[in-house]
Amino acid sequence: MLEKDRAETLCDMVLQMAKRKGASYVDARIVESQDEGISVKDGIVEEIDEGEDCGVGIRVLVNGAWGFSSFPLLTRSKRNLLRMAKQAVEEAIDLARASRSGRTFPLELSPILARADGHHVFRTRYEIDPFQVSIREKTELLLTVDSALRQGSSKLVVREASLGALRVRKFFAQEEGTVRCTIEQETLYTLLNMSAVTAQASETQQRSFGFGKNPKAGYEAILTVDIEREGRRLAEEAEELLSARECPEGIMDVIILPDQLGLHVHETGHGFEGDRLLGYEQTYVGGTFISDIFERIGSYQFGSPHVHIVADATLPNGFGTFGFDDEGVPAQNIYLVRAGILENVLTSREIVPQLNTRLGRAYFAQSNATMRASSFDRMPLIRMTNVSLLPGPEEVDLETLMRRVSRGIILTGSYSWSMSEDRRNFDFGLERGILIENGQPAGIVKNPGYTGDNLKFWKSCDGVAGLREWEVLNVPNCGKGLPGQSMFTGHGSSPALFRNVSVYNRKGRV
Amino acid sequence: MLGRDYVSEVLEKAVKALEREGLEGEAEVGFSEEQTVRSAWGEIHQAPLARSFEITLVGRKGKRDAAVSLAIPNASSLRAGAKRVKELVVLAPENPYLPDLNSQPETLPELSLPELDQETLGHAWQEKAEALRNAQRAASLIDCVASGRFFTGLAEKGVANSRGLLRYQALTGAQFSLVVTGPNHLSSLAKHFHTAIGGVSREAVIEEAIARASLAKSLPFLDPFDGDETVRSFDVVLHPYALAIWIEWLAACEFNGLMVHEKQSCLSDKIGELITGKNITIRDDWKYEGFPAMPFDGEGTTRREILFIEKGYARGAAYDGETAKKARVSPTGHDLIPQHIIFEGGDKSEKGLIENCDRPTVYATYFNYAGMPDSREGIFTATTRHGTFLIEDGKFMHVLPPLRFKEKTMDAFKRVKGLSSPVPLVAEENYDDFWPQSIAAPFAKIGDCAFIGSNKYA
Repeated sequence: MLEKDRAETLCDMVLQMAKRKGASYVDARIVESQDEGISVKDGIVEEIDEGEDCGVGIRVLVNGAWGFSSFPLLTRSKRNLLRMAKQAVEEAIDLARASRSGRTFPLELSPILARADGHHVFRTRYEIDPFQVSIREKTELLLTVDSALRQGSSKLVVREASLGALRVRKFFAQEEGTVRCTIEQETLYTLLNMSAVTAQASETQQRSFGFGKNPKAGYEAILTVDIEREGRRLAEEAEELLSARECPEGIMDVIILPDQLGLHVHETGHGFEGDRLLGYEQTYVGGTFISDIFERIGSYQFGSPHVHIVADATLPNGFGTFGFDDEGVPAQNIYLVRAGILENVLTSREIVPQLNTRLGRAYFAQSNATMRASSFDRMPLIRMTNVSLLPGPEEVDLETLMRRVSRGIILTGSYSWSMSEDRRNFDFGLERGILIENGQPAGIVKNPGYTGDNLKFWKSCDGVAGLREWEVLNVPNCGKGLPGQSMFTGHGSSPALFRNVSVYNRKGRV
Repeated sequence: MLGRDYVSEVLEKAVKALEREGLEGEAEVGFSEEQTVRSAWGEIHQAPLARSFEITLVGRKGKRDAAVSLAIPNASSLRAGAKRVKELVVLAPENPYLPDLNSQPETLPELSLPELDQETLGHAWQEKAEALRNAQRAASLIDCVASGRFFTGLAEKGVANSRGLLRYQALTGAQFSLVVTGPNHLSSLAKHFHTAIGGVSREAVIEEAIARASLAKSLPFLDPFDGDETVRSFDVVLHPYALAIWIEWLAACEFNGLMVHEKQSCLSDKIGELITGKNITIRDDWKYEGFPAMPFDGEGTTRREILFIEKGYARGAAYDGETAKKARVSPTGHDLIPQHIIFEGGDKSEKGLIENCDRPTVYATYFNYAGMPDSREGIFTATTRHGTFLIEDGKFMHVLPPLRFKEKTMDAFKRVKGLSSPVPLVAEENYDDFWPQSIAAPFAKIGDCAFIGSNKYA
């Protein structure tokens, strides 16, 4: 990373130059990332990689239109840095002017209400820096996972385990009128993944761990996992699935466990992105079903009263946690859905006035801080933070939910996902199901899947388990935007019961 | 732009730095510059210019290897990177599947490729803004709105190693894509890619998107799932946009040599067997006209032509060096996922395929956010988008809501009733550097396809 004084000097130059050239708003973001990946497959260490990346992104607003340019820091020579920064400012200004020719109204930025000017610092809290743990120790851990997987089944055709770590350091400077602000942030992510694939004749089955269940940023996240037990369990379950019954098809009650429900919340959460409401993603994966019900925000019954969905960027150490978004707005925890009522959507500074205009009333007071860019060379977009289904009452757990089902299925282990362009129609394939008959487990089934309509689905929620069973699904690869951006998000949930869901066999065997 | 000389010099220094540490080495450089102008409902909302650079040093000692990627390509950074690679290599256990390093090929196909287009390198953002303004004007004439993306990009890639390999390729590309939306969730897509911005047919893109939107506006709406049905079967005519999305998934999940080797592809254990109708041939050829060319992969292996399915018979898959060793085949030069796929066509036209529909047939323009609920069985699902119509008696009779399509690929490919000639298309997703996947897909008519629901609107 550039030293703080050099970063400040560079950003100062960018801000001053952009202002001189007519920008009413300018921000400069210096981003440095450090990453590491180790992977083991079938007992062989296939990958030991380290990497770094560093560059500058400059965003300007000129006459109400955005321009953005960026450059990698290929050199540390002051002269070259200033030359590249000058070129990037000029490009950003030119791009903003070209953009203005394609706008009928100027973009306005909503105020940042809850932040003082000056300098701010945010750092992820962690106990053990994953980059300080030796490669040998991490490799041995993965080989231990591999050994546990091997012990779990003799029918494995693929055993896989990997560890990853990412540290992102940002220096952000912003100037708007007389207001100037600088922010230093450091976020850290640690990832463990393991999976087992078994085969018998032409049948294959898999079980996978995902990217962890705990919102912990450092290597301590890995140490909380009983890797030997988890490895054996995955392999045993993958073998068990080979001879399990086929998942039946039909309308039935389902209890979805957090490793899948977190993904369902995630895919639904895309529908709450304010930029999708305004058509910003039409040229990629589409709009949102919220568009049809947006006028009724604040009163629309989106889900059953059990459904409380929050976007919480302050969740300690979540994959979607930060101090400030990439336009300098402080992180927030907001309700998107409270007791089933649609209450909010994810917003940015430019989106707030446009949504208020569309509603014809000042419903949104300020951005709720969701603008993030995946790297220095990408413009920030509205991104989910930790969008989570809040836990239900403490006395509710998986057992009590199960007792309320006469015929149904417990669903776990994401395998595939597909959504309609407005995020309303969904289709998920799963790794494993457990049939429920008269409130009791009635055997494992393979190849489950479920499909349906998100507005009906969330209204059919008939109970959410309490905090003891609440887990966070870590997503390191949420895709959005053109050019594409891959983002870290987190999604907490507890096991939850949904009535009358369309269940199918994902191999089409029944 | 970095240029061949600069990239070659950096690569050679990187390999030498590794060799000074007593390692055999391989280095890869990637640089990209992309400029996008994007509009939503007629308003330009984004105009980013992105530049990224990465150099990766891979060092090996015997059967051990490790890699370090660097942001700065100067001499001291390369020295430090090579030292770190050496430290990591010592810690790496032996990998029996470490691929062999390539030697320099006797002939380099990349040297005969055309020069880069200077206008595209300049990004022409005023022209892009004008195209988006024109699109909005045209859309407003039919009471719709236009959302567009006009992109130009430059990508450079170089690979070198201790065996004397040194390869470099640069590419420019431009793509204009347009979505026209209107009342009642009407949506229409058109797009065109060319390696030079001057070759992008802006008017044709606007005309195509407007024509399909106008058709959708003119037809009565029908939801085939308004009754109690949970599954309905229709013949389908797939636009090349839709078939290309399906092929993208086949490329990643079924034609990927690792998936085949690990028994997770529908081609696993089926090579040599008849798996589709005999009118199906799917292959990979980076030299196909209209595709952005890329002659080698990240290991510097020259791309070979691959037949995945030949006249219905499963033939092969794409292999990188490591997977090829596991599967005891030769690497194909594709980094596992094929990038230049051709679904061979037939002698029908789109018009002919439509006119010959003697039973209710769904016309699907595009598949949105698809998935593979089971790769071993080749099961594909997606909702249709950007124009779903019902054809009756050879004519478009109704506009339909997005429908959820679900089919076992190889079974569906046994029911292909007609194909047009293939249309070269280039994918729009670019998450890392700009080097797009290209697919040539025909209009395809397939009998008795399963739909399992429609997208309702509030």
